[in-house]
Amino acid sequence: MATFDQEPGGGAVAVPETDAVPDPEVPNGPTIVVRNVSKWFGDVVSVNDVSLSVRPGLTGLLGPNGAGKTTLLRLICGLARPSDGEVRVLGQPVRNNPDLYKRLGVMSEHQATYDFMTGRQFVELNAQLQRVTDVKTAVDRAIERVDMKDAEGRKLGGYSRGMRQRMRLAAVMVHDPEILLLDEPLSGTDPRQRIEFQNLVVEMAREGRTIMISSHILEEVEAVADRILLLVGGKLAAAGDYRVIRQKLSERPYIVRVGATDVRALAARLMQESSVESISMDGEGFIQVLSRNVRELQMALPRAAGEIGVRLNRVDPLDDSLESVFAYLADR
Amino acid sequence: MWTIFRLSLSQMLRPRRLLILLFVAAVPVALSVIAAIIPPEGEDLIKFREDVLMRPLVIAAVLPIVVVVLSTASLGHEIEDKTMTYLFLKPVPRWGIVLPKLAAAAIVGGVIVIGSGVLTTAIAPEGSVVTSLAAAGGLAVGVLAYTSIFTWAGLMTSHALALGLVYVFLWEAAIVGFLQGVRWLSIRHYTEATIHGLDDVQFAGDSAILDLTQALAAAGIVMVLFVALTVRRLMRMDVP
Repeated sequence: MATFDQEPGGGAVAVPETDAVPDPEVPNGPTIVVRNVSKWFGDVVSVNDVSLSVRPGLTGLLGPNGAGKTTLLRLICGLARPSDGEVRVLGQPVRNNPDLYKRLGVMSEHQATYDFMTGRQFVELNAQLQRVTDVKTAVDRAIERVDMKDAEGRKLGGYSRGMRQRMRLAAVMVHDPEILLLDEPLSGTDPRQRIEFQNLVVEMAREGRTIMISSHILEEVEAVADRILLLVGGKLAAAGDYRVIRQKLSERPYIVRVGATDVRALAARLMQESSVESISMDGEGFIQVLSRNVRELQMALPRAAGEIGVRLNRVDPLDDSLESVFAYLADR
Repeated sequence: MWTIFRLSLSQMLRPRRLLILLFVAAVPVALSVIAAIIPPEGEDLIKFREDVLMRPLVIAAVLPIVVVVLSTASLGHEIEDKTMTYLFLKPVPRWGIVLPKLAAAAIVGGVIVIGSGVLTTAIAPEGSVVTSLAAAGGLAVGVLAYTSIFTWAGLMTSHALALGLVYVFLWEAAIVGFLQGVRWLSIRHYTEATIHGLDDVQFAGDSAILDLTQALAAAGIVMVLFVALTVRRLMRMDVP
């Protein structure tokens, strides 16, 4: 099972066991170690003194847009040079160490491909650049694994976003890497492809690989990742078992705006519900209900309205944006 | 390296850009055909070939335009299209990315430019094999030197093409034309000096201040320097 270690100095919420010394020879030792890494572009700090280590298994890298997820992944794979700190992958420095890429597969956030190539030619190109010995077998296996055999002869330029993502994934894993870094891999995929992709990465993680997946959608990552890293404003805000983080999310207060045919009567009735902490009028004829148990509130609302013969005409969560969730966790 | 070379060739041989470059290269050839059919009256034909066809058209226009367009694109488009990651994140030394890219640009550019120069000198009145071979040699030197400079420029800036055209048409055409001393810093001058060094009978050059050895040495230094700078840049840069 995947584990995540938060190194000292990160200031994150969950701090599981610490093991800062990477030793790839030790089974289940950390394969990725990030130590006090910062990256700034002029006056803008994109990643701010982040320290962590990741072991084999599936780790989700979560954060709102602009949190620094992509920059962190780019630092880990060596595409970007840290302004400060150190990154080691499989015990080795990653910058200017091309041989390390034999053991590393990276799917960047960009959708760019060589559009004049067919899907198969693209995967072949990656296999040849990785110096795979049996290119044909490796390419066949990778394309079959992403279920793209039927479309392998078509030009990449004619693929949908989802198909392109799957062929890019085939190219990334054609050399059977030990570590996979996937930046927003589910972007553009439909629900069926998403489930297939999730099954695929879970299976690859079970084979002992280290897989890091970034996303700004919590549900996307928690469906597959054992461990989660939460990045907010370039800092590691929370880290650890996703269940712990989920629990913190469920403790977070929610405000719901409710419109009904008789809001005063509804407010009086709702105050009897244990899931409701407080109620206020907002001046526009709506009530704002504060709750720490949104699931219970979802059931209580229609029940209470039905009991007093009031019709609900509007129920809006007021601060359900992902940013507010991350901000809440970051403030803890 | 062979894989990256083949990839680069297929990127450069895209029909639209290639057709435009071939059209540019065909202009002096077409003029030499016209001159062969209707020779200019009262002109020294050898001088006409050099001063009207070779120096202003092939050496000063076709050579830099074709090579700057191809070489700025060879790594520059990988950066612009965000496909560089596919090369960078592979177990390939950085020089193993730069050299095949440079070779592909030089070969495609070389075939077009040298083809244009050789055909122009061969078809024009008073053409000779020696002059055509000298033109081929000199243009090859120019192609290699321009390619190394502008492959590096393509990594340094997204405006490399504009920078290249400024270098060619402001620095080489205007400033170097007036200031003899800075010809040491002109690829066009290396090219002319090489052709003149190989065929001093039929190609006078622009009062060349460099002899053949000096021109080849200067071009060689430029090539090595800019290939090294390109590899260094690729090792130090953040790849988008």
